[in-house]
Amino acid sequence: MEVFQEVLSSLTQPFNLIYMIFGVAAGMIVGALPGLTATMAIAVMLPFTFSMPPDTALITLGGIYIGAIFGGCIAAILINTPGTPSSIATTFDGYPMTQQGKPDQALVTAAVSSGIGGVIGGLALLFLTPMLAALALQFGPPEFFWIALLGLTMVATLSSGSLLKGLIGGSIGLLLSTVGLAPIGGDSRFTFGFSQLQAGFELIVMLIAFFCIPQVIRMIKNQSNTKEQVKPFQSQKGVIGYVFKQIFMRPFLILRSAVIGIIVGIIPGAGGNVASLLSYDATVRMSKDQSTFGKGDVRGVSASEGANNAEVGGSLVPLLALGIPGAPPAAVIIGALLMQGIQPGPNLFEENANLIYTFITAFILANVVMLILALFGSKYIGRVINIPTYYLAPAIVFLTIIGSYAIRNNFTDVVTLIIIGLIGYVLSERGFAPAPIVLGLILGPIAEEGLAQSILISEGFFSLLGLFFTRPITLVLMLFCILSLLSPYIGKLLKSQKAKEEQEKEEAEESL
Amino acid sequence: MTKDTGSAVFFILLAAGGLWMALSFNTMSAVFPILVLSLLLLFSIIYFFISIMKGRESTETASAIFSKEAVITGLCLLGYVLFIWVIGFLAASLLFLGGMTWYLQGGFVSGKKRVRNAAGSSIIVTVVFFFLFRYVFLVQLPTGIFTS
Repeated sequence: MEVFQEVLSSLTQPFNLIYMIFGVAAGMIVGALPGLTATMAIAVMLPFTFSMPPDTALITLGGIYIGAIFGGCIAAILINTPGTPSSIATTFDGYPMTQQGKPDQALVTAAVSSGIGGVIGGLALLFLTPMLAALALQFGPPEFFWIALLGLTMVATLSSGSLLKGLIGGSIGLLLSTVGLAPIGGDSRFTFGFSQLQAGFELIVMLIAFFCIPQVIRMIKNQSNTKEQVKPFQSQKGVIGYVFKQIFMRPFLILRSAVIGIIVGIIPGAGGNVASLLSYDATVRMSKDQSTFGKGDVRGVSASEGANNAEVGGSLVPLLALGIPGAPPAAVIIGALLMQGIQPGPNLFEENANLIYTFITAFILANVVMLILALFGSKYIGRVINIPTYYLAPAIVFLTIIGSYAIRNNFTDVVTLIIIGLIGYVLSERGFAPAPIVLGLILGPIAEEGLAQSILISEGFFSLLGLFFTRPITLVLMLFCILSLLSPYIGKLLKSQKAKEEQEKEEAEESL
Repeated sequence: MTKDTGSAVFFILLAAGGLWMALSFNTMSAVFPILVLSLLLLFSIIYFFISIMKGRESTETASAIFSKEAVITGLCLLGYVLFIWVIGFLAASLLFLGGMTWYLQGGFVSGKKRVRNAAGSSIIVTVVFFFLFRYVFLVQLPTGIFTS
């Protein structure tokens, strides 16, 4: 009851509501700009939340996350370019609808699907997180070590085209997390005599460096590509009512999309792009009439958008329960929590219950705010797509620099940002995605603490092996790690087997 | 040598160098870095052999990692940081934003309009955010080596 009163009092504060609306709107604007991801939107806006109270900061960042994921669909629908990777599948049917003169119908469908998907994702966050956190309370140091490794294997497998490159990226992230004073041994590691590195790399600076700087360089590289401009369009009457009717006639479509989104979100590293593609694929496969998909079918837009906004809630479940982000934007939110002195993990609900329930409730509310803003403002926000790169790119660099400096008034952070950002650009161009590196950086301290504490509580080498390889939960986690590493190969094997079977079937039919 | 092989060699050297450094740490400080670096070394060696096998099968297309725009942007970023250190945040930002906006308009806008756009955006963005961070968020922004 006390928690409920606290949540209510926080959410009825006018400033919190204003920041929520501002966060959603700002996220939608940034998300609508092709090339600017939700991760970048949160990373760039993060410094503006430093001076806010924790609840306001989290409400704002949650709003930005939700708004940015939806914002991605605006560019996807209007100019066939996903504003964020989460909206890739939205282009399949969203843009054909625009070509058929129905952009408002596509935008309204996306808004309603995103809103409903987001609310379902928020409910999953509300109910699944405490359950997972309660389970995680039974974890000891070896379990946390394996949880960190599981997070990394999943990220390495899912977020990048190459498993090996993902694993190397994850190892680099883990290595970067060891820079500075060792938490247990106390030695100064890999600082090369720079006293500024004793405290290690600042997480938010590294997040901005890996996610924003390479993206800005790529934007500049690609700015000469001809850019399609958003044309003004005539609104049609009764579209909102028509879309609501269409969606409520097919309740399982959004429900299925939301469930796919939540599951994908919970798996570390999978992200909204995987959620929307899987959901789109499932919708096509389960539809009787598949001929209209890719030609402007409203179900395609709904499936993609319902899943990617539900994924937002799902990605926050492991973040709050275990301290492991489910998606890159959630990794930036970890940085925000740490900045506010809050350690995500199983104890979060005991130590900061009021704050976390405020955040989750605000998250659900922000989806409703997003729905309202999206229904009435998408076509106007769509105009920001026309902002040229020559204004945008320098301004983003400026914001990342001022933001990195503002974290602890340290010029070394600015130098680190640019140097690591340039290295991040080269790595990403060589196929080493930033997500595994950043996840390694976040999971490194969890894994190191788990390993070091296990060594300290063990009585010799064989006792240590026993801790890591014989406890029931560690065995389950190890099994998941192995499955996660093998999953791409199992998938390939199944695909090739299926292809072989189909070929044999065709050959048999031909011979007949 | 393909670019993948080059990357693999770089990571092998990085892991080997790191392992050599980690040997000088005390046991509890070294255990995790040694584990991580050993994994990095193992993955890099596998990556090396795979890249050699792939290199024989295919020829690489020319990469545009270090395109003219990317190199100029990278140099501008490094210059911006250097300028912040020397002449302070406000002046460096005005120069960076103005210069970068002017450069990026090449091929899109020309003449006086190009200069006007660059100067306008530079002044507006810098001044607005400078005042916001300096006087609302109370962040002491760098003032340069001549004034600090």
